[in-house]
Amino acid sequence: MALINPGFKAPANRDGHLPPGQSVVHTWPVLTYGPTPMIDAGEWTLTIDGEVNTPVTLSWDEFDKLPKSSLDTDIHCVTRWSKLGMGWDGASLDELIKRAGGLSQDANFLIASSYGDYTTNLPVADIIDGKALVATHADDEPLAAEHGGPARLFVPHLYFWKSAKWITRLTFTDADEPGFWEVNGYHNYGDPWREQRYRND
Amino acid sequence: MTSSPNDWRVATVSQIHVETTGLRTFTFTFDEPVRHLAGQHYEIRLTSDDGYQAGRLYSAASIADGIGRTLQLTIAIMPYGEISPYLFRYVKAGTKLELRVPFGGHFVWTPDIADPVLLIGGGTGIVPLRAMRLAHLAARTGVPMQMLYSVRSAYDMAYKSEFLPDGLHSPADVAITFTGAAPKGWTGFARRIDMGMLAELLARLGGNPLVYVCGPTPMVESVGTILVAMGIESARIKTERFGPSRG
Repeated sequence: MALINPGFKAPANRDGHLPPGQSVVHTWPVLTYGPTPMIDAGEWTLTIDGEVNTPVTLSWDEFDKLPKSSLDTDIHCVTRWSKLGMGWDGASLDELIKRAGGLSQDANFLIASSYGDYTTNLPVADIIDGKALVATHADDEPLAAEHGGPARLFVPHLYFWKSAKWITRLTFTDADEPGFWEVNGYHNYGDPWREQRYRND
Repeated sequence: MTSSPNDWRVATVSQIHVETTGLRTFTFTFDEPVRHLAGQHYEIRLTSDDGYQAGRLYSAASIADGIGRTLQLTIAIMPYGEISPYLFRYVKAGTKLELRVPFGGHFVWTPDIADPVLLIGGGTGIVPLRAMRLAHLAARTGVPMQMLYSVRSAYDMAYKSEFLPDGLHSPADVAITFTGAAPKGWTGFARRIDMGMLAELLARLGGNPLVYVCGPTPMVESVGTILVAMGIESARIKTERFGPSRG
């Protein structure tokens, strides 16, 4: 039984608290289009290539030695749930880009690829300056395989399908290349606050 | 540091101290002893009479060694938040709240750390670092620790009685830089954190220091970049940023 806090109400107008059309969950739903790949940390690699100065492939051990960052924030799934106040840990995309010698001047988009051939696309501006991680922990627990472990992309200000699970490749490109959900009817950008769920939203 | 739904505990607010206009330190008293590591977070959960719940994480501002029963959380009001406006408006001494303990295992300082430490806080990012300083003072390890607190003005400062007791001088282990208006007669730093400032503080510490940086994302990014450029190994820089959460 939870303690009731007198005077505390569900917000009548949640616009300032939750993106439109979202509801708070306290569990953590799992949504994946196929079976969960089980990737052992020993075989996991992360390649950063395309429009970078020195493409690089990191092993788990190499990745593990990178400085880590935390993002304490909310996540919003296009299937209308939001999970509030989570703490995520991993390496920032800024740090990973640094490991690849920096971006070339033609790097406009990131194409993120997962084990299992899932891809998603993001503008570079949305993943730099501390806005994105390759995350290994959520709320202090190593990411379970069903949540994308051992490591997933984490871009919390966009709908969560953009935060590709089982990340293995970050390819920077000049031109945009819509990914799995983006060619399957979902919005190309996916801003929860503008409710960009589907292609024509 | 794992948690389960059974970790929720009821605590009574025993004191509320106004740090600045939008920043208050809430002291909680538990029925049982409290233990956490300096730098860890607690979650506060609120429940409405119809079962709606919302929770947010807040850094511990105090230390808790498993003997005492009190905890301090310093909380900034987020005008469009769900939790902090309730805490500022409805919570008084004697109010009971639910908390879950403790979170976070990376951005922590423990007394067994033998290296000198530089703590760098921007704005309310000072909160977990204040706990680290208190833990360090309590441990009496003899390992040097230096704090740098970047804040707009004395008016915006938290823990003024500890960091600027006479309004003009800080303890030897606490450097303050005022990025807006410095107090009249101030002779310390009065600019954004830069390499010269960090070099001066690192020289005071000597050795191979461990650095903790906490604050708004742009401040953390900027300080991190400077530290790496100064040759601090990035694995020795621990950072915590304020994400876009709406407390």
